[in-house]
Amino acid sequence: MRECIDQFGSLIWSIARRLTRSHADAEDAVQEIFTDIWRSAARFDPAQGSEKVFVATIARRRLIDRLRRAGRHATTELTDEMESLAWSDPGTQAETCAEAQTAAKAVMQLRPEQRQVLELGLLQGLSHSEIAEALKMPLGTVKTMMRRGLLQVRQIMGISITPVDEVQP
Amino acid sequence: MSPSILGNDRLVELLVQRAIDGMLNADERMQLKQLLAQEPYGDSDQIDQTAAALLIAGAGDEEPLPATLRNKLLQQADAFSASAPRSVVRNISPAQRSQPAPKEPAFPASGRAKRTIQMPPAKVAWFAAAASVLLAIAGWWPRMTGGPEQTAQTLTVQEQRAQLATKPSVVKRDWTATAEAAAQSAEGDVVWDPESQTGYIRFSGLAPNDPRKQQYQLWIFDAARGDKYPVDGGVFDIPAAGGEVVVPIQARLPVRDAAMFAVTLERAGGVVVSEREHIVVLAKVASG
Repeated sequence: MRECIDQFGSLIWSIARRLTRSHADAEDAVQEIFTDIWRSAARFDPAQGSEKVFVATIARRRLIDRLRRAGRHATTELTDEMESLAWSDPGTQAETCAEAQTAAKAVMQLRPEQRQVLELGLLQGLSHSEIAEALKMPLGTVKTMMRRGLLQVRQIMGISITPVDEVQP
Repeated sequence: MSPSILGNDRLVELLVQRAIDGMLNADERMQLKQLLAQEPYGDSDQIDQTAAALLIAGAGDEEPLPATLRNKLLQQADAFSASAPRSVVRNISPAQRSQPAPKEPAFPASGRAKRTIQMPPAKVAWFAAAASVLLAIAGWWPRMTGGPEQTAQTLTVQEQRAQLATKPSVVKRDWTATAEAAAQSAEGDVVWDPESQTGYIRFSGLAPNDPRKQQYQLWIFDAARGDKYPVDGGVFDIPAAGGEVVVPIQARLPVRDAAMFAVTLERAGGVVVSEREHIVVLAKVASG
């Protein structure tokens, strides 16, 4: 577990800082997330993806739950040009994770307005309703754009589910 | 071959809603549970995992785990392994790390996963060590070398700031206090490294705030974005105890060309868009 902390601590801390409002909130969240990871470790299936994505999935779920429980969203910055700076220039987190690199390339193939919906939801932690409010779009449109965007990214990423029994050395 | 969630529109809709909104209402939760129970879907986690991959991709550069938090986590780990039932403690093998391509597995994944499940807590440590040696010998240890990162994890925030400040790429500017009462005796500086997208703000003399009512919030004006929507750099507190306060900058979005840093006093939790009524300090980067 010590190695788990050293290996993923920076990743989880970075994500927590992005989706919380303060240093103290982030610290609390990271402690909850590591407990979640240890409890969920037996569910890890390498055929489904890397450990990094596994722990980021757990972290994200916990952080979104905390945001919603607190009844406030993380942050909203809209760019006039609707250009996703975050995904157009992935940082060092992505360099160590091929899935993240592929995801960044995939999301850049989406239409700018669709990408902005994903950015607000995924990188800034806004709910569908909050995105609709921020972009002055109908809620149904936001939900459709989010759903289609995620599925398109997933499709471009070429995720295929390989049954564990079929995995060969 | 397991059925895919893509064949059920309502299921996909609920999974996306859960991934983005977090909570589902009772009816939706029940419906999701029933839909997932209908078929042995092999990809029911893929929406969440795609969201997580995009979050990693957009998370920017790594920010080292603070040393104090790491120590807390180590204590938490000890307590957890001592108290957890054997069925929930499983070592995530170091050798499985950074295996990002599920389409091209380089090792017998299922076999190794099964071997590492349900180890008694007392055996986890030696098992991890033994597994590490065996896997390294096997020649596919993909672990990244992390010397500098591990060093950073042991530094205090003040030391991390000092270390960053020595980088040639770093921009350092002193704060200019405004006429706000809270800033009367304020001084300090900001250091920002555009390469790593990290930085620190330092203060002394800035008035303490009551975190239940108000918090300070940092804004970064990015010349590439214009000054209409500055990037949120996070909220922070100044404790009543006084003394020097150093706060890591957490830019919510990448900053291409930092033109100015500003700190405002906002309601607790910070705001999405500042009214800029209470700007306490400024640090202009651009010389023009």
